[in-house]
Amino acid sequence: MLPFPDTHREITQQLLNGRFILQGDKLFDTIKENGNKEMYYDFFKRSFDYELVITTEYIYLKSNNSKETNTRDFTIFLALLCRELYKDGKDFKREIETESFVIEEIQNSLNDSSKKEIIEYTDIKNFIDFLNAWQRRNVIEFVGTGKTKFRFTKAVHLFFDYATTLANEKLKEVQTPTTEQ
Amino acid sequence: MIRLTATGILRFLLENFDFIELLYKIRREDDSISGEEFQKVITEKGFNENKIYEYRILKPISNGDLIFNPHYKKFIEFLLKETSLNLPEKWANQTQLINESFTKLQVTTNKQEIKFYIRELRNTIDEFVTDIQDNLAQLLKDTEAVKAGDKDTDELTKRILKAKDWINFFVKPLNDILDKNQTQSIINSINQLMRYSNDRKYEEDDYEISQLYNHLYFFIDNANKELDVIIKHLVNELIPLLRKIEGDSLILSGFIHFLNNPFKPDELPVPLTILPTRRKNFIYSQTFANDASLYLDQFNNKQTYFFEDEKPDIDDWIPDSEHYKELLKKQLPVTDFYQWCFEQLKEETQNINVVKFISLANIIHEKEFYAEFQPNQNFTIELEDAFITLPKVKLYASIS
Repeated sequence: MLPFPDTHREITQQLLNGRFILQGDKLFDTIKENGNKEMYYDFFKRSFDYELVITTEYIYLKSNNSKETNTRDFTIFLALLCRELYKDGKDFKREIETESFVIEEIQNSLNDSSKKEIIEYTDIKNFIDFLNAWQRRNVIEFVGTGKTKFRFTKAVHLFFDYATTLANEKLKEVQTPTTEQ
Repeated sequence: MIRLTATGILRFLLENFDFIELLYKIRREDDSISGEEFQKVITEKGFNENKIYEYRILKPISNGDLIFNPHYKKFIEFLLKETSLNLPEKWANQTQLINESFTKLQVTTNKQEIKFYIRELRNTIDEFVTDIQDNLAQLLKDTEAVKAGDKDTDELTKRILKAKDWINFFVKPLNDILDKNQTQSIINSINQLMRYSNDRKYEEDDYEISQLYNHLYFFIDNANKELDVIIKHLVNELIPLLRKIEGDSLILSGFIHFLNNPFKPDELPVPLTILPTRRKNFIYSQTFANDASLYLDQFNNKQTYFFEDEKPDIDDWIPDSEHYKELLKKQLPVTDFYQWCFEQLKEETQNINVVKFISLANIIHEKEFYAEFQPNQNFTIELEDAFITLPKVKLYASIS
């Protein structure tokens, strides 16, 4: 008898598809159970060379395939959205964490952005397909019926954490005087 | 006299540090302690006086006073300095002043000294509370100004640094001195002082001193309420606000750095997290994936060739039988009709096939001609698409 939980197939399929398993999902608790956690760290590392990352809010797999641009495009989208919300004098982080967004409005706002040219080279260009892809990854979810609104899930914190780490690294560059030879 | 050992001394200090610290604090500037004060604390704390002499913490001198051992003094000084809170100088001094005055108040029996320490405590506490209120009001005002600040990266960087500085050099120390769980916190000392003054106002025989303690009690009670408001302000408003400013500014600044060069994330100091991509079939080995990828690559980007269908040459030329009928009439009689047909066609076309040949040869059946077959003189003609064997036929004009 293999040491896998009953939902093993569901867990592996979701994670290997690049989907976040969120706190509140029964799979989340299954993975975090004693024994399973260590087993899955080992399982994904040895089988696929993926790192299993478990936080208090979500679980996901980290790949080291540098050819992928999936998170790059989402980071661009989130960065642009935060920038636009901030420019409008809104509490961008609170809005992202709690509010839902009308797809058409966001699309117009991105099109009016001064950084619009960036979008042309990314998957954001086909906005609905882009949102569908990130809905499948559990980073956004559609609100109500008709797919006219969406909101972000807790997985968006991964991207906030990235921005914070990047800013702190840049701060170190500012604060560390360069020594001239 | 017991024999002292290093571990013995340390164990004694460890077990009795509170009392030794009290003695350290009530010593005068010349490191002496009056015999009367010493007896008071010994009685109040129920401490074995002999232990102090055995471990040579204090040494009696001629006038009945005692002198604090300089070696212990240096060691305790070092311990207290190392474990003291890292406060801005002004607050550190005020905290120290309150603690010292309170300790001295507890041991003195001199009425004038009691009056002096109570006055000093009231002044210091008043100065402390006012100072914190002023600082907090200014900080909130500055924080609001920073929150509404400008939007470019430099401004964001300045804002982050400012928020970090305020947290590290103002809010954290302030939080420490107001933290009831910290033994050295000012709030702890003030609470102890309040309890002490409450007790003393009932226990003191001297009416004037009792009244002074009474006033001190209500004064501290009031200061305590003000400090409570400050703590709530600090915990509920300022700390979250500063943390939010710092956190939000970091996120925004990070995103702006990212947007400056979004297509070369490799050049950024922090690599992006890469998520696995959706697959229908799982590849269970990286080696297999690489081999498969190499194999499939050969089918990619092949140039497309188009082959045009060759246009078939349709030779639909048919000899004009009327023309040849007239020509034949003029040349009659012809000794070998089929050979004649072949020769005529050769003059008109290179590709003589069965259809063309038969079309022409059919004029043999016209009524204007009479054919005479020559037996045993068959011959073969090579046409484009067939060899045909024909008899030799003489052709004459028909008599009728």
